[in-house]
Amino acid sequence: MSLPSDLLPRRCRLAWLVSAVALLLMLVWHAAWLAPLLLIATVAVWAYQAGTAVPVAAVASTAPTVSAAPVREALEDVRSALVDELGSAARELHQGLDVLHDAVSELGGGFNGLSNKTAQQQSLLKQIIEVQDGDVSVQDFAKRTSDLLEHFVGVIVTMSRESLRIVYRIDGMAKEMDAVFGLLKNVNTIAEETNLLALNAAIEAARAGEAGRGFAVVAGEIRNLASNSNELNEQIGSHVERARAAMEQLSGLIGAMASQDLNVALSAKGGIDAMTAHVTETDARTSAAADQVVEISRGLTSDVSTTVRSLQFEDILRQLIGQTRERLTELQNVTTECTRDIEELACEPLAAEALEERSQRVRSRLAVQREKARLRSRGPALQNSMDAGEIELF
Amino acid sequence: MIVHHDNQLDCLTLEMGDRFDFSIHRAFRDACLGDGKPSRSYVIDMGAVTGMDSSALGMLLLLREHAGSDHADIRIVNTSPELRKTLRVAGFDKLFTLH
Repeated sequence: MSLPSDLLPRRCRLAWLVSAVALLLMLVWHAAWLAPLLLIATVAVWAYQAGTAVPVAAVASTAPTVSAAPVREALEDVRSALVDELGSAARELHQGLDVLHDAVSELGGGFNGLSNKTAQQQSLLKQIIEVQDGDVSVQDFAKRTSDLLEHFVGVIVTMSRESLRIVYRIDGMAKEMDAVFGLLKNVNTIAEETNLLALNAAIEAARAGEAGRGFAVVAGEIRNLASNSNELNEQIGSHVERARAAMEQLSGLIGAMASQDLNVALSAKGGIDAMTAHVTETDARTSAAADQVVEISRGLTSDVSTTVRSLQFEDILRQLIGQTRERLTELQNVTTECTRDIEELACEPLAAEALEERSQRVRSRLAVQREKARLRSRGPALQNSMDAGEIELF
Repeated sequence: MIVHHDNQLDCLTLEMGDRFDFSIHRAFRDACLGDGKPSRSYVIDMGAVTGMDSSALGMLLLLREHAGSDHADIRIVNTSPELRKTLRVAGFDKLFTLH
């Protein structure tokens, strides 16, 4: 700082010089005892200088009474400008606070709705998953069908086996019939031989003449018996033949029963296997997707709760803005009061004591204001962090 | 159907024709279900078989009974994938040795 030397009285210059030397010494020499010593010296010089300064100020203050009106006017302007400006700033802050409040309450409502819907979605999903894990699954159904099909195939195979057993039995019976047929042929031969024998006996009886007449009758009866026996044989033969044909037919029928096409069962089995595989794959995919959705839904809930908690910034802002408004209002008052005092100081010729009293009033008013501000910044605990509070959503 | 009996090993080999169904039931019985003593082992060659119905399975089961049920040594060889599937579905892979 450099001041024009001719404007300053010599003592004042001395005070500046002493202060500068003291500062230099303090910077160069760090001794502990030096600082208070230099302070005392400097204060003494400045006090001495101040004692002589008052008359200088008094001399200076008597001069401007001539041009009091323009100063008053200018100060009035300054005051009204400052007060207006502060007032409109306070109003704008108030408006801003209202807008902020509306927006935040709407946002809060929206997020709460979102959170409720997410909860609903989650419970629905849980229901779906529970239904899927229920008693009757498609997989279970496919397994049962497959078991049933295997049982069906088993029944068919068993039936075929038993049918074949019957067919083989019938074949055995047919063989016995064939044996009977063979035996009947033997009986036939015997009958023919008997017939021949009877014929010979009849010839011999005829040769014997009258004595063989009775024998001829017996021979004739024997021939009759032989021919009867032959007839009976033929009848038995035809019956056996018919029974044989019936057995052959029966064997064919049972054979048809034994010969079941297994391809239907096989293709059904293949279809069920494919279905089971498909269902298993689909089940796995569905359950993975459901898990993912549940995870996403959970994340969404946490996101929403974080967001709602973040909306507390409105409270903090409201407190801050409220304080600022209060300060502005006080500043308005202080500005009004102080400019009035300064106006009087500047424009009205006052006695030295009155002057001193006014300036003291202004200073003390400002000091009071500073103290208020200090107390306020210390006073009601302001919430500085938004993580400080947890919000219970439901 | 061609039947071949190995006297040394007492092994009866049946080479099936293209159809293994009811039409051959008599030949099958004559070949291996007779009243005589059963062979020690059997080999059923299915290499030429293209058609098979449930009576074939019935015949195989009767052969198994004839050969001593659980003690029977019956090998079914040269089965096509299709036939093998049929035999599996019927549970024959547990009763016979499938190749």
